[in-house]
Amino acid sequence: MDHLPTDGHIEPSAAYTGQGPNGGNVDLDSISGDSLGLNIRIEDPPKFELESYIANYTGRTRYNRLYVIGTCSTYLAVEALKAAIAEAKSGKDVTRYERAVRALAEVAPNDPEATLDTHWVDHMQKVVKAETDRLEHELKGYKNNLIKESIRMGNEDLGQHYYLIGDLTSASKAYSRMRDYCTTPTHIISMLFKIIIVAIERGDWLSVQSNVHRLRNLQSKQDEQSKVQPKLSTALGLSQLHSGSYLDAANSFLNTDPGLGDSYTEVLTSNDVAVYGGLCALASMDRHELQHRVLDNNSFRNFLELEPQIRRAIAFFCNSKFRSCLEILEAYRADYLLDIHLQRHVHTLFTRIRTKSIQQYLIPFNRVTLDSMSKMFAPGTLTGTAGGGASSGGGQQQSDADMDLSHPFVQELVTLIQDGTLDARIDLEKKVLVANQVDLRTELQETVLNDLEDYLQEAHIRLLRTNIIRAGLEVRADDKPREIRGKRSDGFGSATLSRGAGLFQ
Amino acid sequence: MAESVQQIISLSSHLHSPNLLSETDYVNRVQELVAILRRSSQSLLSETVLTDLSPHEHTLPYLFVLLHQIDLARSRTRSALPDDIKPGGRLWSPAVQFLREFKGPQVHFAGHEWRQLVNMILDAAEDDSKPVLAVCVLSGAIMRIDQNVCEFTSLHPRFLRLCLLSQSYSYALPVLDKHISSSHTSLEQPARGDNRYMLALNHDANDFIAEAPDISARLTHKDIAQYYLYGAMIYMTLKEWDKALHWLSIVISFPVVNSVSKVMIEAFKKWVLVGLLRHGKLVTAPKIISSHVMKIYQAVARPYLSLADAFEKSDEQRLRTEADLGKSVWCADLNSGLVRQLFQAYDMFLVLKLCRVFSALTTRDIAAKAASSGLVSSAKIESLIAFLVMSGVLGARLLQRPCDLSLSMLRFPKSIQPYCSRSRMRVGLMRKSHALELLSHNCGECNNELKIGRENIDVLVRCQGWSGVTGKGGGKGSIDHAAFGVDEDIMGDLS
Repeated sequence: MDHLPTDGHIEPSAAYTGQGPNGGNVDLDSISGDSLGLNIRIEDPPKFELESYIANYTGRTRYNRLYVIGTCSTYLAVEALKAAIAEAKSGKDVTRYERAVRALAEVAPNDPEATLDTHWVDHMQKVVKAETDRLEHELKGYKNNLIKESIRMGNEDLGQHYYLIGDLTSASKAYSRMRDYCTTPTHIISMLFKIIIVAIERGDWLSVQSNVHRLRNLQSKQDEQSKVQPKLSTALGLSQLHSGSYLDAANSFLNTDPGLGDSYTEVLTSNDVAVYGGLCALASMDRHELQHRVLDNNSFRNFLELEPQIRRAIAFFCNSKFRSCLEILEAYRADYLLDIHLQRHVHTLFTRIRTKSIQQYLIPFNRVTLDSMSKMFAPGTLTGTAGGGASSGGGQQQSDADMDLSHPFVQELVTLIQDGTLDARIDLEKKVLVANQVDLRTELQETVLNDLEDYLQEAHIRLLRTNIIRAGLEVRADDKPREIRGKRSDGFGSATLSRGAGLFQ
Repeated sequence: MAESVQQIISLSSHLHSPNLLSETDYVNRVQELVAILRRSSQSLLSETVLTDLSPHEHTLPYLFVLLHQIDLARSRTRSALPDDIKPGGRLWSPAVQFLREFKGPQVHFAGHEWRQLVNMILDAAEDDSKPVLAVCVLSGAIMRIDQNVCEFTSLHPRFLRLCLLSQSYSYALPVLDKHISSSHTSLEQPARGDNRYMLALNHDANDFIAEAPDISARLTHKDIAQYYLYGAMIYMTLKEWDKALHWLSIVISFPVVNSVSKVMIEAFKKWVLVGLLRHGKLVTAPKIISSHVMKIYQAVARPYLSLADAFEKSDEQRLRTEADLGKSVWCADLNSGLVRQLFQAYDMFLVLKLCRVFSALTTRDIAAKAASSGLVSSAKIESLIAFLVMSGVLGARLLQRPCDLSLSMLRFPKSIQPYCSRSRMRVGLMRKSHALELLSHNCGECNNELKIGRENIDVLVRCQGWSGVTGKGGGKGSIDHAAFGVDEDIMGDLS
C-alpha cells in the first residue's frame, strides 16, 4: 500500500518539470487540449465525489473541468469523460464533443459512447451555421436602422452565440463591439463581465486584469457595488494566480466578500476561493501575516469553513507543526491537481510552502541533526521516495546510515543552500545542519576593501581613457597620429574643443 | 680642440652639484651642454676616450662619445648592427656600464640620443638572442630615468616584450609595479603621448614641449595597448591574476573611434580566460566599454565565450569537449596554456563551492559530487585539497580517520569569509588610501589640464546657452559630469 501513492506522487512532479517552459504561456484552451492534458497523470483517487463536485458549477466551465479531470485522472477518466460528452451534447459546441469522444476513445476504446455520433454532429453544425447567419443578418438590419439599443442587443446575442459554440475570439470581439452602444452603467457592467468570462476561458489573463480595472473604476450604486465586488476580486485573483504573483492573488482572494455565494458558478465556487486563497497565502505569507490576515479574517473565515482542511493546514503552519501541515496538503494533492486553475501551480505552490516550512523550522536552531529534520520533512512528502519512507518506518539505525550525500532529503537541502534559500551548511560528519554565523564586522571590512579596489580600478581606467582621448590616441581605422597631433595643439586646453578635434578628422 | 674637450668636461662637472645651482640655472646649463655636444665635430668626439670618462660623473659626454663610436663601427662594417655592439663586443660593456651608472635627470635632455642607444642595445641583444642581457640592464635604467615620474615611452612596450621573450619576468616587475602604484601619474604622460621625457616639474614642462617633438618616437594607440597587454601577460605568468585582469580590462576598454584594434581583441580573449581562472566565472566587463565594441568582441571571441559558459555552469563534460573543439583556436591565439590551466581551476572552484554548502564532508562525497571530472580517487582529491590549503586558497582542514586511511574528512572553517586579520586589514586600508590619494591628485591635475574647473564650466555653460544646466546650486558638481561625460566625478566622490 505504501508503494502505490509514492509512485503517484513522483509522476506528476516529473510531468511538471517537463512542462516548465510552457508555464508562462497561460491558455486554458491548451490546458483542455490534448497535448498538455495528457502530460499529467494522477493515479490517486481524489477525495471529492465527481457528481456533487461538478454540480456546483454552471456554464461552459463544467465541460472544461470534466475534460481536465477525464484526461488527467486515471481513476475518474471514464466517468468524467462520459459526463463531459453528455455535457457537450447538451450544448452546441461541436469541437468540444469531438474532443471529448477522442479522449474517451483513448481511455476506453470499447465503450459505446467512444464513437462519434456523426448524425448529431452534422445536424448541430447545420443548426449552428443557420443561427450564426441569422444573427449576423439581424445585426446588419439593426445597424441600418441605427437604433443603439438594438445594435447592442444584436451584438450581445451574437457574442452569446459565439461563446456557446466555442468561438471565443469572435465572442470577445462581438462583446467588445457592444461598448459603443452601451447607454447605461448597467449595460457596461454586464458587457465587461461577459468579456471577463470569455477572457478567463481563453486564458487571456491580461485582458481579465484590464477589464477588472475598468469595472473597478466605474461609478455605481452601493448595492450594485457589493454585488460586483466579489466577482471582481475572484477574477482578479485568478489572473494573478496564473501570472504567478501568488501574494497578490492571495490578497485578492482574501478580500473577496463572502457574499459571493454561488453567484459566480460559471467561473468558480466559494470552495475554490478558499482553496486558491489559502494555498496562495500559505505559499507567500509569513506566519504572522497568515495568523492575522487569514485565520483572524472574519470575512474569509466564511470561505475557510467550506474547506476545513485548508484552515487546519494554515493553523498547523502557524503553530509550527509543519509536518501535519504538509501532510494535509499532500493528502489533497490529487484534488488540487485535478482543478482546472490550480493544476499547473500546485507544484510551485507546494514547493514554496515546503521551502518556507524548512526555513521557518530552522530559525530557532543553531544546529539541527539531519535526522530530526528528515523526520519532520522527508516522510511522505514530495521528494520522500523509498529511502525517506523507509527511514520513517525503519529504526533510528537505518536512517542514520542513510543520511549521506545520496539521501534525497540531503540533496534537497543541498539545492536549497545552493540557490541561497537556506543560510546554513551541512556537516556530514556529525550529520547536522549548521546555521551560518555571520560576522558582520569582517563582512563589512571585506566589502569595504573590495569596493575600494573596484573603485580604484574603475577610476584608473576612466582616467587613463580621458588622457588617451586627450592625446588623440584612440583606435581608429585610418591611423594618422601625426595629423591628430596637429589638431591636438589647437584644441588643447578646452574639453569641448579637443573632443571636437576627433570629429574634424 | 683639446680645450673644447676640457670645456665640455668642466661644464659637465659643474652639473655635479645641482643643489648649488638654481633650478633654471641647472636646466640652462644642461641645455647648453647638450647643444655643444650636438654640434661638436666628429674629431672632437673621437678624441675623447671612453675610459677617461665616468658615466656617472660625465653622463652626457659619455653618451655622445659612445654613440659616436658606435657610428664609427657601423660605417666601418657597413652593417646596422656591428659585432662590436653585440654582447661580448668591444662597445657592449661600455654601453652596459653607462646604463648602469648614468644620471637620470641629465639624460632627459638628450632623449633622442638616449633612445638611440637603448634601441641599439635592445636590437643587439635580440639579434644575438640574448635578450636577458639587455633586460636586466634596462630594468634598472628605466627605473633610474624616471625616479620622480613614470612616463610612458615607446621603450616600455619593447622592454616588456623582451622580458617576455627572455622569460625574465621578475625584471619587469619593478617597472610594472611602479606603474601600477603610481599609475595615475604615469597615465598623465601617455596623454601627452608625443613628448617623451618630460620632467614633472610644472614650470619646466613648457620649455620641453618645444623641444620634445623631435626627440620623441611617435606613439600610437598600439604602443599603449601593447604595453598593457604585455604587462598583463607578465602578471599572468606570475599568476597574479588580479593585476593581470585589471591590466587586460584597461586594454579592452581602450577608447575607440570607429574600429577595434587587434591587440584589444587578443586582450579580450585572454581577459575571458583570466577571469575564469581568478573568479570561476565570466567577469562583468567594465561599464565604459561601448556596446558596439562589446558586440565585436563577442562575435570574434565566440569559442572563448562558450568555453566560459561551460565553465560557469559547472558542466565538466561540455568544458572538455569545448576545449577539444577549440584546440586549433587556442593554439592560433597562443592561449592553450591558459586553457590547460582551466581544468585545475575548475577542480579548485568545485571544492570552493562545496565549502559554501557543507561544513564537513568526506573525500568520497567530493568524489561523488565531482563524478564527471578527473577527480575520481580519494587520494587525488586529498592531494588537491592539500595543495589548496597549503596555497592559502582554502582555509580547511583534512582529518584522516585512523580506521580507514582511504577516507578522510574535510572540515571547512566556521566562517565562510576568508580569514581577515586586523593587521591584514590595516595594510589593505593603508595601501588603498595611498592609492586613493594618488588618484585624487591625478584627477585634480587632469581637471586642471582639461580646464574643467567650475568657473570655466560656468562660463562655457553660459556661452553655449545650456540654461537648464546651471542654477541648481548644490547639484552642480554632478551635472557637470553628466554634461561632459568625463570622469571628474571621481573628485566629487572623494571630497
